[in-house]
Amino acid sequence: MSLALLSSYAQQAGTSMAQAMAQAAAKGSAAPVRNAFSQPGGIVAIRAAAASLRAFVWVIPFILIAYILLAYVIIKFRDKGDGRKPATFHENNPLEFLWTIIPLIVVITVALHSYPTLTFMEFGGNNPALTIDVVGHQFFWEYKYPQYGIDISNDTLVVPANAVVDLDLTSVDVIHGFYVPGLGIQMDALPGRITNLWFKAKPGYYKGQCTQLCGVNHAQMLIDVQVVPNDQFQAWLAKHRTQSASLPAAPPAALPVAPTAARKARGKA
Amino acid sequence: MSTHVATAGVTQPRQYHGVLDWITTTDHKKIGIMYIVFALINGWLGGSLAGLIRLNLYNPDWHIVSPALYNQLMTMHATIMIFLTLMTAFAGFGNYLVPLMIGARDMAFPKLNAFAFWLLIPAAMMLYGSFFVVGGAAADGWWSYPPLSTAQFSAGHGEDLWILAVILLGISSIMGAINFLVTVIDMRAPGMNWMKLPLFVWSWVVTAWMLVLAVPVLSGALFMLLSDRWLNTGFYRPALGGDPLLYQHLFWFFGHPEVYIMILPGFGMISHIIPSMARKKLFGYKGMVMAIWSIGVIGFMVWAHHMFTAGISASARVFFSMASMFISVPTGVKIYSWLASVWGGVIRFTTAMKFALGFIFTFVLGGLSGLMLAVVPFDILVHNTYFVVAHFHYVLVGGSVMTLFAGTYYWFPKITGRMLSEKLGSWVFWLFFIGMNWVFMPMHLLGIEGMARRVANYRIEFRPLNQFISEGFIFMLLAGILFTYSIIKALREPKTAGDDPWQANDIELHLEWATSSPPPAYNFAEIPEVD
Ligand code: HEM
Ligand SMILES: [Cu+2]
Ligand SMILES: [Cu+2]
Repeated sequence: MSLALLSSYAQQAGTSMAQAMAQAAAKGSAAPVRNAFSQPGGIVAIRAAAASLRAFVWVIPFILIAYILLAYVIIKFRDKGDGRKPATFHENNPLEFLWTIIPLIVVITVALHSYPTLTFMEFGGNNPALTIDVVGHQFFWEYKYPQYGIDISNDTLVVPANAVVDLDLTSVDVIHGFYVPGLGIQMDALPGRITNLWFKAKPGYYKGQCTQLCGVNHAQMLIDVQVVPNDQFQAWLAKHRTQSASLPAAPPAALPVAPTAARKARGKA
Repeated sequence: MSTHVATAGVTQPRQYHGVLDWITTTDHKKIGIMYIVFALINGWLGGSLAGLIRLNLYNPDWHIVSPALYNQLMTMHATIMIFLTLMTAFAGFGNYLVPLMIGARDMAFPKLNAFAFWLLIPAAMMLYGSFFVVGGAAADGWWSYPPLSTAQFSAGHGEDLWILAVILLGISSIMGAINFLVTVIDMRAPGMNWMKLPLFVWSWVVTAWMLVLAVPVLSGALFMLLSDRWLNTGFYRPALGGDPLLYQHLFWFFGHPEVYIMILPGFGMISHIIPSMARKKLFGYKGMVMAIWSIGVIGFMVWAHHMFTAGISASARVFFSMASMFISVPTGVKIYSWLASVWGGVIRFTTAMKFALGFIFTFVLGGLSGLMLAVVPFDILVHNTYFVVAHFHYVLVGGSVMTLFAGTYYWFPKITGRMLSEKLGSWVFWLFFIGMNWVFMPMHLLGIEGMARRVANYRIEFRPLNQFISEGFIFMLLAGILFTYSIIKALREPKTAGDDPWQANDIELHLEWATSSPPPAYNFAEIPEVD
């Protein structure tokens, strides 16, 4: 549900924005929480899930080998009361060498395999179509669209579909965690620092939540992301810009560095 | 060298009886027992908090506890389980067994030993008492990250008490660790050279080194936090030029070694129990010793895998991901060596052995979910979700706690002279094993589905799995009740265990099974010679 719609609801019904938001949240909650494995919402989630599954494929044999051996020794070497004498061997250097070196090679492979995805998740979001400053507060998220002079709080994050969206995160108080499993993103928002992530998503409704314990209402610090086709996004922008202009300016967040400067430093602006 | 220590011990007069004797004792065996009893009591208290947590999550609409209290329960549950239960239980078994196993009459510094134990009492009083101060107990998690834990956001004295208690517990651990190191270095019986040390002793040597190196870093980090709270310094406060990430690095520099501190002594126990019960010598002794040492060393180089989403650089993540991968290799070596130790044996399925084999089952899963978490893209998908909760409960409950059950069933006859009921033991094992997997297995799924951890409430979609999980808790509770009952019951029975009820010495000489059960004061009338 777009915010434009939301505010029109609010006007029609003569209810407060907060109530309208509660309605929207209720609507949104009809959609399940998506995750990167069952319903990946875009390339970042797809790549992250694929890298995880690749690693898991390497891990499966180790689970199987250990469990098969465990079951085997339990069944085979029970005391059956037949007076069998226990074996006496207690070392075997080649064997011990093998079960050190083979797992070592495997885990190095697993790690190396994951690095391209790590690099992609870190640096793949070039030329973002939209940059949003995400500011954590006890206990809500504030989203600023510096390109459009929009600043919304405690609301659904609305972004265009199939476009690189860049998030710069910080916090005005304690550490928060920005986590949207369906989009394959998670990054802490720390006071005094700016952290960064990007995604490119398919249209849809994505749910997430704060993942760093941030105080009493940490569990209530939910995240809702609405990814809409570009024309709807433009409509939302148009509607919302006028809305936001008439609202009193939000208190400035205590940013030590201008987010844009940080972005420039990373060569992403 | 052992002789002069021995005489010092022998001439010490025994002055008191009854309770006073326990309070004034410097006997490593009595101190060990006190540690173990202390751990059991705290296991019950910390476990009850877990019960409240699960009850609340069964249906958050019932509002069993307020969100504020929930955070306190969660923080105190972790703190109690880590510092007052697992660490003290292993310290107890270490205290009791290490001098016996190396053929010494006591620890190197018996008074220091008693002091380290008695420091636990004020620390525990501060922790439990903090529930009753204004604002309640600490509520910022066992990791206690600033700025949340600074005075601005956690004004109550619960947090101060928590910091002071953990510093005190740290001092106790450091004293204990130094004592273990000196004891093993200096007081081994003649002929007990390093490559004959029983593995439980080896695991305590490495654990003690890790404690000595890691705990001071935690204490330093906590003192700085305390100073930020009280003296308005700004180590962790951005407005004053500090940085909350500094705390995270210091905390996890301690925190990761800490998780191995809580499992290595358990590894050592398993390395005794499996050979005895399979009636076969331990496989790959040298490899095992090397594995413990590599874990001890690499364990100090992986800490930032707890910070993959904290905004650290990609290259740092590459390094810490690779190092964390490496640490599963020695862990794997241990698993394979235990399996090879059973191979060709003649297994007796005593309760101790059931717990040891059950431990292998759960620990493999916990270790491999750890390996998955070291894969950064996967960690980003599940960091700070219930997947992590599943991982560390598999290694700590499925790992450490199961080794402690195994160790209790194995050494109880030595410590008390009495056997624990094997019939009840079988019930304890199956209830615990089923309950443990019932509770923690589905948490992997919850995490993958995206349920955050450390939350008093959750989106409605997560309710069915949460209810299922809470139901499994009943099994673990029953196991705990039966276990405790079984101990109390056994203590009322006659001392019929004999010196070596498991015939451990038929396979290989173990000094602790070569003396009476329980061992006499000062353990050995004559210091044994090992050849
Ligand atoms: C086999 C090697 C292991 C690896 C590769 C490993 C890896 C990891 C990783 C990457 C995390 C961070 C996950 C996250 O926060 O997103 C983690 C968390 C944790 N691990 Fe392990 N682990 C291993 C073994 C163990 C063992 C043996 C223990 C304890 C006996 C343990 C206890 C913990 C605990 C307590 C946490 C959570 C700490 C917290 O956030 O409160 N791990 N592990
Ligand atoms: Cu938050
Ligand atoms: Cu770790």
